Amino acid sequence: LKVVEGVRSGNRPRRDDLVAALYDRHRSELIRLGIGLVGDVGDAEELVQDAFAALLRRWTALRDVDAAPGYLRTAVVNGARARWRRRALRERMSRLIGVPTETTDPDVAERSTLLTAIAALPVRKRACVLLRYYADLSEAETATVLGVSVGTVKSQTAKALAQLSKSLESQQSGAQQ
Amino acid sequence: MTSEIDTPVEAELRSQLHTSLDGIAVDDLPWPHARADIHHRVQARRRRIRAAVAAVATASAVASILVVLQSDGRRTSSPPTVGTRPWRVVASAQFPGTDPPRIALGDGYVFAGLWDSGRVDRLDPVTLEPTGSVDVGSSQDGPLSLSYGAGSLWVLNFADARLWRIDPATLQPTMKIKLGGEPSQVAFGDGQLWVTVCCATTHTSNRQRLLRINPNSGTITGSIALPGDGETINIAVEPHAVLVGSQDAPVSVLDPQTLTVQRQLHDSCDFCDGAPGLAIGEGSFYVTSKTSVLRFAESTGRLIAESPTVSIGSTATPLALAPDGLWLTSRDALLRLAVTDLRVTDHVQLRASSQIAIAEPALYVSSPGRVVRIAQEAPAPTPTPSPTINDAGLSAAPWARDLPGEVAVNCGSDICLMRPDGTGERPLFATFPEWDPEWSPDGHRLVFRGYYGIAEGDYAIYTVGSDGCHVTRIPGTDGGYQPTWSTTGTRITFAVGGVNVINTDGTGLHKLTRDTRARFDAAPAWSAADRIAFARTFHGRPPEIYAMNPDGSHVSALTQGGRGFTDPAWSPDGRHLAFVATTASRGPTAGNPTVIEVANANGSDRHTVSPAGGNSFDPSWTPDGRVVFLATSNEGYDAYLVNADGTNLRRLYKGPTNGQAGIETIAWGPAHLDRSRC
Repeated sequence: LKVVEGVRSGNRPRRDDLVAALYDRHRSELIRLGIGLVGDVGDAEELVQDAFAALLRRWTALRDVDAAPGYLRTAVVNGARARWRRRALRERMSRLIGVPTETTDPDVAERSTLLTAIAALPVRKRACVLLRYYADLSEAETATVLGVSVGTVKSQTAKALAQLSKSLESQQSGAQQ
Repeated sequence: MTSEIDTPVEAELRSQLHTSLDGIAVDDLPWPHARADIHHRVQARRRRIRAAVAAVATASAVASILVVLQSDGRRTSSPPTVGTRPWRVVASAQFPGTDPPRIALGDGYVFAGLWDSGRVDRLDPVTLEPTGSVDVGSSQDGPLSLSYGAGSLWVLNFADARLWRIDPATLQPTMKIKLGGEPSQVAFGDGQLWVTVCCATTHTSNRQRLLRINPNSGTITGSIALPGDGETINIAVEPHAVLVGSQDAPVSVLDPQTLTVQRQLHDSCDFCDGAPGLAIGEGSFYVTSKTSVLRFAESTGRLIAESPTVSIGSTATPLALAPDGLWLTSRDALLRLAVTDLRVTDHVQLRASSQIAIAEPALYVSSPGRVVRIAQEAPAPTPTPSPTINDAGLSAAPWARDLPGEVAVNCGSDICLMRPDGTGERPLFATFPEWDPEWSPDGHRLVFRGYYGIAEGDYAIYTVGSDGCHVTRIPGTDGGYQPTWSTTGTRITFAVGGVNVINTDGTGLHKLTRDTRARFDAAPAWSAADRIAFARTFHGRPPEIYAMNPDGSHVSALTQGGRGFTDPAWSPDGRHLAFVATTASRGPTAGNPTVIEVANANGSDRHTVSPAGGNSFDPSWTPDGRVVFLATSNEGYDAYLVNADGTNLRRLYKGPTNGQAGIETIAWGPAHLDRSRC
């Protein structure tokens, strides 16, 4: 990440150059994190665009360029939360006026039994699993992104792993039958 | 990166997760292509910040400074003459967009900062004709606040977070002072520049700092962290004192030299629910409360006078002090008060004022999309109305300016309030997602479904004041949705597991109907005639509209047959009912076309009032008995207004064409509201 290294060496680049470098380095990872969270590639791309917009808005308040990836992950997780809520409302409205909506996302469902099982987890557990085992964050880093305690991350992750294990076993036995 | 050691199960999960997700192809979108879209999103967000920060708070603070001091810092010598001739609007300048221009007076000119156009215009002080212009920032991202002092115009440019010094004659920038953070307002007083900057430390903080800047060198000579919510800090300055007002603390008096707090005006926050308007002069501090203006002695800080109750409506109302008059905005007018006993001496009909500046013998007032000059002269011709486009990109019909009340719409996942013409948009309460807004009968409170947790289903019924204050989660309503008020405003009906009624304080929960495997009920609506209409769906059949008494008795069907009816809404007099009707069935997996129908209270005389084709939904009523509803268009959702008999169908709002999310819900309140916020 040349421009970031340039900052450290005193050769200060423009803000857009820094964001461009962050974008090139982290976009794909963030989109895949978003896919794990919301199950849809298009929605995940939207989340990531919004996350970079949030980063630009808060650029002057960002003290350390190294904090930017963490800020982007937080923005993606928070954006995903808002989308879940919005989707639930639409489903309820659709039910009332007779316009059914998809409840299982084909992007995820067609690709991996693991992702399907993760998609069935409650919101916070899903985020814990993805941040811990896909974004490769520590428990403390995950707690920071989610705004919860390390203890909560520990317990939510443990419960999520148990639930995943049960779900995958169930899928496996169903497939054998 | 993680430092914990994986168990075998965790290691396997990590490996499989990377294989699964990294195997998903992600389309490449190079930065140059993504950049424009990301910047557009930034600007959309900034429009909201600007609406909240600048339209109310900044105007108040700057106005306070402008009228106390002339360009060279001297106090004005004589006031506008009070005579028998009424004060009138004698000149008017229209500007693109709906944002109130920021105004500053100096060097014989009026300067208007135009956020919507990214420029500052210099206007002739008599005719308000433009005499020059300077680009500052870019469209929707430029001049946030203006002040005049030390022979220069000072402009806060939000785009580059710098304070620009501009030569008033040539309109050329001569200095750009880097501020850091997001600046919100600038004022000139005591020979110094005073600037508020958000945010103090992290992206989660909303606290602001007050910076003192030497206008000659551009160096920051002092700084202090301000208390309270950063979006509603007001300041006023004179040689011996800096006043700072925030929404949750008494007004503080700071020493401009040491930047230490000298005292707090403790009585000043007894009535506060927003940052108060401030002015200094005549040996006094003037502070607005929600219902009056308070005068404190500058020397002791004691309360020495209070105005009669005036319909101010907003504690953040602009104050403008002249030697023999204190001007302020009330709900529908400009008022002038005597500076000593604060009695009302003059009254000028003018709505939606957001900033006042005085240059005798006239005063200048900015309001959405225009600046007017007010004097005791003959009036100028009324400008021709034109469509307005608000912050959310909604285009409102010109005739909407004549409509009464206040409109609640969704803005993203939040509720926003705006005037019927789309101006004055502001988020109601943007702490967590809110849906299903409904106005109380008096138009001063709303009930909505709000989220208290991060998981789906973590919601309950809340009530809130129209100013965003007093948010209350009603106990016993968890999982509830689609709330509406009773006619008395003391009870609420909502759906969850059937139709329920509860007192607004959470007592008296009563389940009127109970969902079963065979049927479920939703969308309750309470009429002025004390009947509750609701949508009932029997398994495998389309929903129908039913009605019952508030105790659950006398249930009767208002519709029968057809392809489905839902979302009932009663007219204000309870004599008519509007609802959504499905007009055709395209099968269970396709969207079905819907229209809005209106019927008598007993279900008779059903007739369609919405356009044919597409989908119309979310009907509600205006206070004067017309139906407003949303309908799909190629660009999102449009809003329509129609008489109950189906005549005079007109499009009220055209959905945004700038890529922003459109309206998905609308509710019309009966009261004309000020712009006060909590």
